[in-house]
Amino acid sequence: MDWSKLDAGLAAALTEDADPTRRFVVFVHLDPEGGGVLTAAGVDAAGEGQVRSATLSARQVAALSDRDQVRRLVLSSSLRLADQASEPDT
Amino acid sequence: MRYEKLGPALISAVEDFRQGGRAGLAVHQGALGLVSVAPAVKPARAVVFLHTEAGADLGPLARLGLELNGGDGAIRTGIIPLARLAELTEQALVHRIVPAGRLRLLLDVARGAVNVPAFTSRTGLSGRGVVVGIVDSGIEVGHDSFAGRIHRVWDQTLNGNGVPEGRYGAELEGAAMTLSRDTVGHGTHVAGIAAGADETYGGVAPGARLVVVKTDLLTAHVADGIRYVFRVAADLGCPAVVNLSLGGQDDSHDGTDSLSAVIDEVSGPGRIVCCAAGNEGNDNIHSRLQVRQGGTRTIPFAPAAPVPGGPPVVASLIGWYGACDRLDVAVVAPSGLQTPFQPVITEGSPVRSHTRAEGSVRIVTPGPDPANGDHGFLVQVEPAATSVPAAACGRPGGWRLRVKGAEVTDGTLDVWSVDPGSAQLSGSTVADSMKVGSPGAATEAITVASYTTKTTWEDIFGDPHEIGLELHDISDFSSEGPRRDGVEKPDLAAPGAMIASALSVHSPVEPAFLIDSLHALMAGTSMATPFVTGLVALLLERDPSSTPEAVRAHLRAHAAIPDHQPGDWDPKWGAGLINAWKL
Repeated sequence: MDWSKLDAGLAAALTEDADPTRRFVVFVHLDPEGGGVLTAAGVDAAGEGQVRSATLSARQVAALSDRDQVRRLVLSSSLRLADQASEPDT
Repeated sequence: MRYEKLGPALISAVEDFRQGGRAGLAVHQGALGLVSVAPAVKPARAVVFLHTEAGADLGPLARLGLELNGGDGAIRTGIIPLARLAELTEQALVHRIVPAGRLRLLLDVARGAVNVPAFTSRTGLSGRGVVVGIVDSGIEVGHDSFAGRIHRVWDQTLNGNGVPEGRYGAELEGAAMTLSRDTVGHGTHVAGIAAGADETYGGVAPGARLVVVKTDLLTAHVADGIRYVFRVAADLGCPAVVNLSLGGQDDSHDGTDSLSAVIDEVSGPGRIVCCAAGNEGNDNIHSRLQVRQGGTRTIPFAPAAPVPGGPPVVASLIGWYGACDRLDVAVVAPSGLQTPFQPVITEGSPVRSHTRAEGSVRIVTPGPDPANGDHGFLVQVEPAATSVPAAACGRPGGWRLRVKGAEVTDGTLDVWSVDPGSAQLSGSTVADSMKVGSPGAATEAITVASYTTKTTWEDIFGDPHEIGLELHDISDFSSEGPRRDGVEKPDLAAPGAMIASALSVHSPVEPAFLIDSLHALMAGTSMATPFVTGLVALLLERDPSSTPEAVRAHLRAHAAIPDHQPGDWDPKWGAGLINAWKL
């Protein structure tokens, strides 16, 4: 595992959860011609550019982090809807 | 007469009817759904909402002249002769009767405030030939506002084979789209503002086609959703604008996070993304401070108190500072006990965990982020159920983040609470700035702040309400910029409070925000963003190859901050309120 390629959130998640069956939704940042590494690793990653999304096991994260074509692995975070939950004054 | 069962406006009308007969009702006719007020064959009657028990058989009440419309829910609509109202209130199954108010054109208030009707009538633009992508909580497929214009729905939350952009969820077309439900109501409301076709509460681009992604809100899947919309639009040969009325704070606030990178990558001529600035304007979620070589600084923070038996509360703080600095990070528990200062760790796992009586602490201090070269760290605190309450923050005994300058050249540190609901910051370093997170921080996005065009209204029952916002001013909840690297975000402001738009029948709505059975009021930069999305759709109809840069510059050039010089920019207003008149 090349921990230097993992963002803080993914590093924390991998440390927190030792369950080998758990899967992580991540962004995979690749070199310009690095798409083939995902196919070779058997990863079904979406997108065509240098930033792909994928759902990976901890073992796949470790394997990809050791590949030269992979620059960065970032844990997907959860967004919030941007409506304002406010109470009216009746 | 059981007056307690009547809405206030109906009581007033009934009293005037008693005292002045039909003539007494004249003053109420403009506001209430009164019919047959003028002398006529029929008696004076009122259109009412009647509260009863769900499934109750009200057929026998026809003897009182009550004419009910369809439905068997707890709230029925119908017409009642005013002369029989007293008898009706005596019926056990009748819980409450409120008059149907005569509605004002609330969204028209917003549209008119920024001259959208004048612009569309002058140009004839409606968004025809443009795809509006809604990546949100879904859409009410059966709502009349979208009839025949929803091209496709990708519901990421359903089981299915997915789409080329992601092998999960289900892609739906035609009648099958009704399998996807907007149980939140947010996406339906947003879609209505951007592209709803409705005589009363019409959207900005009512001629546009809709491609909808019901997302699970994970950033990676939102990115997939954006790609999906642009691909489907390309298949149709249409330009597209994607609306993202969502956001977060778990990023570097400089537009280099992964979702922002995808937005920058896929945006281009005829492919534009509009994003909400966020609603953290009133939240203490950001601190900016200077750390000196060898010096320490402290930021108090208050984790939300965990509820006994409830889900665990994790307060997450992120910090970002320059590539040339190295800061050590520690956490002080309410007891005063501190974790060891943790340096940047570039070999092996950068994660260290600590257990204290007051809760558990995890600190992550990796090496520089390749995306921007800067250092980011993460602190997660899970208070024990018996820990010091949130109110103790800022006083001796509260939780504190401590940083020490190990190698300092610049020393600027920014810290955010990832979730305002889980932790808020306090102390002298709290700053009302740099709260526009991803995806609003994306360089190529058009990022929208909220302006308030309406603060009072009457709900479906005729009850008056007022929201605690300043009318004709920037909404106080709207998040402030700029980005951490100084880039100007938000770009501009648009009406975002209070906005009437389409209601999903599958979503719960606070009655106070319900306008009628098909529309509701909402507020937020979520509502301001589709306003601009709709305008972008109009501009793409005029020039399908417009670039994000050109459209953003065009919109900003037609925005202004009151009492400011043209071209001024403000952290809360951006370039100011859009004026569509001369777009």
